Amino acid sequence: MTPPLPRHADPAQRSVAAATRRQRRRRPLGAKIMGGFGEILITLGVLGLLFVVWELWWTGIEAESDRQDSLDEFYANMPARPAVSDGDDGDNDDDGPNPADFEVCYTLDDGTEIGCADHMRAQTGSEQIMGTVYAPRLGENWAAPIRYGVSATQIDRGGVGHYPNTQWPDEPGNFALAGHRNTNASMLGNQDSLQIGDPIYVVSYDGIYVYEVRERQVVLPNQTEVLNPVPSDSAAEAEFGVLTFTTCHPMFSNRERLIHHAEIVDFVPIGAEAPADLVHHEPITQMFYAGGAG
Amino acid sequence: MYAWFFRELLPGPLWVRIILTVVLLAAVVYGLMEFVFPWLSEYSPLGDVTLEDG
Repeated sequence: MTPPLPRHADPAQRSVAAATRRQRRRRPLGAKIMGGFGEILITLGVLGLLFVVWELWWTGIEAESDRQDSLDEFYANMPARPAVSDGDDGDNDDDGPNPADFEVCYTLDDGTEIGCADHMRAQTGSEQIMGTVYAPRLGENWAAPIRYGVSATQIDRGGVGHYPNTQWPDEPGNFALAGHRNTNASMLGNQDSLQIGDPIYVVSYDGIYVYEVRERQVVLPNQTEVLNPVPSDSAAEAEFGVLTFTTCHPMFSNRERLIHHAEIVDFVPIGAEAPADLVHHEPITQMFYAGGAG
Repeated sequence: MYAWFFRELLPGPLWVRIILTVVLLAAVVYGLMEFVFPWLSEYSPLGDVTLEDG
């Protein structure tokens, strides 16, 4: 037994002490190699775990802040709510758009007129927000800005992307959107909680396109027929609008795609009454009447 | 490997070496998160949510 060294020994003594420690701990070469190999394996394991943390959590931080910025920008540039008119003051000059005279692009079988999306169709730049989609089932404050395109540039920034080769909300056909399930703020992480009959609202500066969920599907990534104008029939000609959500399936995998189709049921022009589901989003009531106005 | 790094390569008394270790680890994790993983993710399938012919 060597007597314990004083705590503040001079450097020479300390290195002697270190040398003695090394001496004591000298292991056979084989054990050293195995130990080093083990440490490399542990390092690789930790790196793998860190990558999972990054993918599932870290990517969401930036995407969520991008989403919030996009939403703020979409709200900030909203056209002002038209002035309330009592209808018989005789001058309509400064009353803003009249909900009755929007441009109709096509009419549903039940007579519902679907307004044109001229403004939305022009927002195809990578920095532009076409509109915002709301699905109350996915959360009271769930709001996904829509960008034009489905590559990482568009959908990694929170929100959803519009498949460029699909149709627009103002025409019969498929308005298809893609969003992340597990990464980059997981915009469509809860897509599977959508129920048949749930409303989905696409709010744009042209008006609100109202959809109702009709069908849930799980397909393979190459089954692009779900993006057809009529998803179930590639030969048929579309007679009404469909909104399609696409995301990864199952959770934490990309083996398949989860698909929800919704059918257009209504159009709310600027100046008309906003759907009750949306009135708690204050900026929307600035563009649309919240109801009972006047 | 790490024991040797901690004992022989890092300077100063124990508490300095502990602080240095934490700082170095934080720097490595930050570098991975900001630079290495974004590059690596191009080869990861989880971010691929779209449908395409193929």
